[in-house]
Amino acid sequence: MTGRNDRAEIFARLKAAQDGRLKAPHPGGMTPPKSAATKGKAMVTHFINKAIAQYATVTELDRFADVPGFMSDWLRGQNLPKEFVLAPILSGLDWAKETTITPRPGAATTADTVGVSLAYGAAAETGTVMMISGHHTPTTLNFVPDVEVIVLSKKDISAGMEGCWEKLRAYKTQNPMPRAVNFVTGPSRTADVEATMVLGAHGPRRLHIVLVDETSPWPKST
Amino acid sequence: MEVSSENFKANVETAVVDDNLKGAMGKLTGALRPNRAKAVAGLPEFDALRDHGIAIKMHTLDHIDTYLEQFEANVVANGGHVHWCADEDSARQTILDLCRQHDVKTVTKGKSMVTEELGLNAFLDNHGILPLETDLGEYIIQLRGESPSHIIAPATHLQQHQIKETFQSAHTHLDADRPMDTAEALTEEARQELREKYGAADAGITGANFMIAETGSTIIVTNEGNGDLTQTLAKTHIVVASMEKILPTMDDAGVMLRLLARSATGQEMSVYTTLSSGPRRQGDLDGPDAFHVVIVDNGRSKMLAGSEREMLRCIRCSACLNHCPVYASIGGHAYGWVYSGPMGKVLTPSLAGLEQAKDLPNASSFCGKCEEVCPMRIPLPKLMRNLREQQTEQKMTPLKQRVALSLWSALASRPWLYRKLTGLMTRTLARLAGKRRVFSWMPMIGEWTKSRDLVAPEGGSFFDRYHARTQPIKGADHDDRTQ
Ligand code: SF4
Repeated sequence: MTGRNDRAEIFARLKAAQDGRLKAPHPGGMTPPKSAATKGKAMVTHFINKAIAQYATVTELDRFADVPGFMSDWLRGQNLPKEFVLAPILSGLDWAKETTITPRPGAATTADTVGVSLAYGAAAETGTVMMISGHHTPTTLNFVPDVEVIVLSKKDISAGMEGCWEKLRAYKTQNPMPRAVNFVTGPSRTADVEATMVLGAHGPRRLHIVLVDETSPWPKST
Repeated sequence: MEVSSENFKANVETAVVDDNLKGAMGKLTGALRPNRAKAVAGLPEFDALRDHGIAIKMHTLDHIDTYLEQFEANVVANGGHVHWCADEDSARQTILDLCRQHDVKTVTKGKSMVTEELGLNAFLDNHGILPLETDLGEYIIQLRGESPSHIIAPATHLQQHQIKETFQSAHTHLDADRPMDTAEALTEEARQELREKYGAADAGITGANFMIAETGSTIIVTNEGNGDLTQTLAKTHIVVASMEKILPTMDDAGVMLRLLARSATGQEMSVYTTLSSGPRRQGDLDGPDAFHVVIVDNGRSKMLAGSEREMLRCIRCSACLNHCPVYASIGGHAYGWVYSGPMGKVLTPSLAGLEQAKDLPNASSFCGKCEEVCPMRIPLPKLMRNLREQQTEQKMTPLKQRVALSLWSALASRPWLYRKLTGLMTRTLARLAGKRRVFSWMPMIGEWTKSRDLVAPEGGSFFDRYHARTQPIKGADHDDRTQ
């Protein structure tokens, strides 16, 4: 047993406070603000613009099979190490053909400079990606490496958060609720020194989003 | 944390002459006010969104017991544990027991106002457990041994050179000549100092911006990523949450999130919004082995039953602080407790007791800006006035003030007597003032007349003059200013 158990006492007080009150009804759900583009190409463009406004960088690719080649070029172009930690869900791609880079599938440690993971959803309204935890996509990839690369299928973008919740509810019918759901909007930052914004506080200093036209490789049961 | 709000008057006197504070506060309000204005202007539906958010909160508070029970059941179904704590003693002891149960020696912490309210760091420290704050602002004030001066920007009272000095004396293992003159350099130094600490900690303690009943999740909203490192890399994750953070569904959280970041920093969305729902699952490669949620009442159920109920809608966005002229000139520490600004003026007496915070509800210009910017439209000025009335009823205000107020109220409720007396007083004062028509001293208001003269009334009371004027003067334009 931990501490005192005040459960009964607290609930008695809460119930007493509600006695005889007229109870307000739930106002129901809401639709994403009209100011956000809600469909098709315009929605994808909106997502890209919002993500860039939040200091992310974006690349568009046709197919998931293009991701290894892109990573090889990009790491070299950015002068980043060729070793990186990779979300196991993406290890099925043909990495072997890219001989200059070495992905290591698994969770991230502080020794990793670059991490690559796959998003489960996204909200165009704010340029936000939704990551879920699990053996496919470990949470540490989103926070520990200096440079975070997130691959996202355009088909997984919704207008607002409501679409992300819907996707999560669907996921929950087949699986337990993921331990962690991370909504990520740009790289980490702080304004704790004299209200001056500085990128790269404790989490990633950079966020690169790789947008792919094709359907994502999430297993059907998820 | 200990409450020192009874020293409010003395605290204010020190604060208004502090130049470092003045400089720092100017930068905060200079950044956050226009940011919020821009974010609100960018969302035409903002007001409708506020109404929607308020309706969700009102519904939730009316059914808070049901939703808390649903939350508990879902946390347990997710493999976590829920602990209920009626007051701060109970909460501190529960957290300590959890630490002992999991053999915890070191703790990393994400930013959490409720743990500040509990004075948790000092308590853990006294019991041999080392707490380390990881939010940059919290880290700075922990090194300085201070409390937060703002609910989302805890070190906002400090200027850059003060932070530099703090790091110089704390990080003595680093090169004394390292560059430290930019916000970037200081942020980087803290990043490097804390980097290896997350994984080495036995437990990570975070707060919760929201709890979702539907899924049994707690939510943290941050920009730095420290909260997520804290809760992902430690072996045990302990969430400490005050009970009014509960929301029914994920969609409800979506509405609140839209309001929160815009009202706080003017961002459309903070960088990281994380739902935590239990310990690591089978097959997971990371995440904590154990997940505990400590739900803290500590005065909330009393507020729910009382006249400060509306205050429980607060989502701790800080808009009321950022727009308050009083807060901007005295900073957060003068308020004497962890909550400051207009929300602190209502929360501190409600949670810590009116006795402890006598002057707080009185120190307001009642300009109404706080209510105007509050996303939850909490009537802060009204709540402050309520608390003031309670003080008078409970005879907490000085005797002189109470006698004067009750005399005035006796008079005001008898118009004929009021008119007679004020008329008499005006004429007497006019006669006493003599030729100069001013008083350079007055009993009861000696402090006031010390540095200025009081002009003597002329020409009778308002009513005398009003009656004289009700006979319309031909050709006059009925404008009193022409007299
Ligand atoms: S009282 Fe309103 S404005 Fe102030 S912190 Fe709470 S929600 Fe924000």
